[in-house]
Amino acid sequence: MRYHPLTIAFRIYQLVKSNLLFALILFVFQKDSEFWLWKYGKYAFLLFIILRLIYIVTAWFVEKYEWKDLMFHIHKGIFVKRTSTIPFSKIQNVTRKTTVFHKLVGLTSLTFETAMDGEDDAIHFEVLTEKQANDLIDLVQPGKQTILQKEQADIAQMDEQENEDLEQEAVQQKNRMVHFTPKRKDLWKASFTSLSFLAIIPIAVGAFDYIGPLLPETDQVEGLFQVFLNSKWLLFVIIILAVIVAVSFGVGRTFIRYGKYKISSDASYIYIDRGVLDESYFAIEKRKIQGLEIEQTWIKRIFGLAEVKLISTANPKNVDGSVNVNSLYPFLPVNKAYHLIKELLPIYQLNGQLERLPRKSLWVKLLRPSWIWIVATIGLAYFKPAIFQIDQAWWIVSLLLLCCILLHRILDYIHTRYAVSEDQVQWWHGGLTSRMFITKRKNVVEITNSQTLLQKYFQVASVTTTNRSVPAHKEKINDIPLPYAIDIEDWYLKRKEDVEFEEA
Amino acid sequence: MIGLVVLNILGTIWSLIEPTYLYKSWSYQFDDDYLQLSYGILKREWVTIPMTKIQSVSTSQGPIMKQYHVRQVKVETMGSSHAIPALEEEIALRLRKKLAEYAKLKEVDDK
Repeated sequence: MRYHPLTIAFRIYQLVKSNLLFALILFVFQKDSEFWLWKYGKYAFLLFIILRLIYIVTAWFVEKYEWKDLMFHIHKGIFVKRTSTIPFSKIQNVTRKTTVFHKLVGLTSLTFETAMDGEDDAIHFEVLTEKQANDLIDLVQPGKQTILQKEQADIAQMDEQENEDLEQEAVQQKNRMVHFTPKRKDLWKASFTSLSFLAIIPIAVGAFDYIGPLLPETDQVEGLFQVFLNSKWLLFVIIILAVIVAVSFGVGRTFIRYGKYKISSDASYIYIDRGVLDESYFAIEKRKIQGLEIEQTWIKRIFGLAEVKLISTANPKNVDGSVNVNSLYPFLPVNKAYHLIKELLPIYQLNGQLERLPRKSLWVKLLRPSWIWIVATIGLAYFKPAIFQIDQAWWIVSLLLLCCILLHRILDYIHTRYAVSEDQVQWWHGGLTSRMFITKRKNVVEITNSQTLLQKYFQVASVTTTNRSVPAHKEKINDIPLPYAIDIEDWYLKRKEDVEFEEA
Repeated sequence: MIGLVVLNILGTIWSLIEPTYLYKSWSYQFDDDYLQLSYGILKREWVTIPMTKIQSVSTSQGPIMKQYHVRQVKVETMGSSHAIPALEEEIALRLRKKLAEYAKLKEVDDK
């Protein structure tokens, strides 16, 4: 099957979007430049654009996709033909995005991501109709495929009871439960905790660079600044205005990004719908989640918010710098976050009772040499820079740095809590930004205990776990008592209990 | 300058005594389910890897190693790679074969 004809238009739109700045520089700002790079650059640029256009149009005629026997077959390339085959079962998650472009023409786009790593690791449908998208999602996803497989198996068995189960499952598939939509209050909190109003600074600077050449003489601009500086009132008003613009910009940005947000789930999938202008839809199979993380920066802690992240084998790369797909919602109230995990993934039992580190761990944390401090202090002592015209500044700075580092470690000591239960491990750690990590024993692919000389003296150790992800997710807890570390290793050695093996 | 010389001398002394400690510090064991390694002089590490999670096993041998009939065994997992520095050739090859055999088993989850 060919892709939707508007794919051509979409690709041209993207081409224009990414080359607009370049074209402006070449044909507007440097129009009369005699410099060879600009002079010939224009021709090269035109040639490039024409070739791209030809390529885009031809590619549409050549590139095709089809599906057969629960597999996608994608045909690509004009000069070098490539065919990739991707079975439905390898698809890890589904992302549907409706950008402003798509909205204008009433269409949408779809991406199927796999756990593979490489060039053909995902299937993109840049433009398709709403109905096509739904059909494709249905084809690949929720239960349908398992039901299909099961039906095939059933033909051989014809077991009535199993059929009943199947029906039940089919009913369940339709039962999508909505777990979370942000309220206005949450969004206000989110826009302040994310410091999104600061985002205007790089944008303003960028815009100034962009329009800089168009502005009148710089002398005039500077003259204007002088006027502002001379009158305190004017300056005050300007600052207030700037703050208002920045805050409303930040709030607007947050509302657009996180405004329409819906987390829902059914028996085997988690769905996230989001976005006001650019709509996107994301689905991941619960079974494919390797672990969970709750992250709390200090500013979020003040507001009582937290971010829940999923650790999965899906490729976390951001295609266009949008919201990270592995994050459930970055500004969840803490209670809600716990509640959500309980609802979405009941196999993870969040433990209220976690153990704290013994007092001796604090000593280990405080006594551990800090390389940052040592290097910084040597540098400071060598150069002895006079900050704020104070000659003795170097040792004050060094001392301040040491205090910060020690404070950070004390916070880490306070935050570190851990529990290992039957088949899961859960711990909190971190200084300014504290993080909780929870995973199942069968999802841990490797465990490492380590002990430095200092830790040996105090009889404590560190444990590192590795989970499957791209790249591998490593998580380390420091300075837990040695017997406990050994227990964790023993616990891991009983991993076999949770694991099923494929029949060879 | 003097500092560099001192560092250099210390480094040389260390490189002379390091192999003995390295040799003493290294140990490995494996059974049907796990490969366990332990190593490290100043900082000790104990690594546990389930056999099913091993992705590839390779051995390599440099000219000096060839002289003494030893081989390095390298084990790669989904998350990391570990090298056992020098094993007698025969043991290394046997280990490689064993690891490859055990690693054949697949867990249901890996699909």
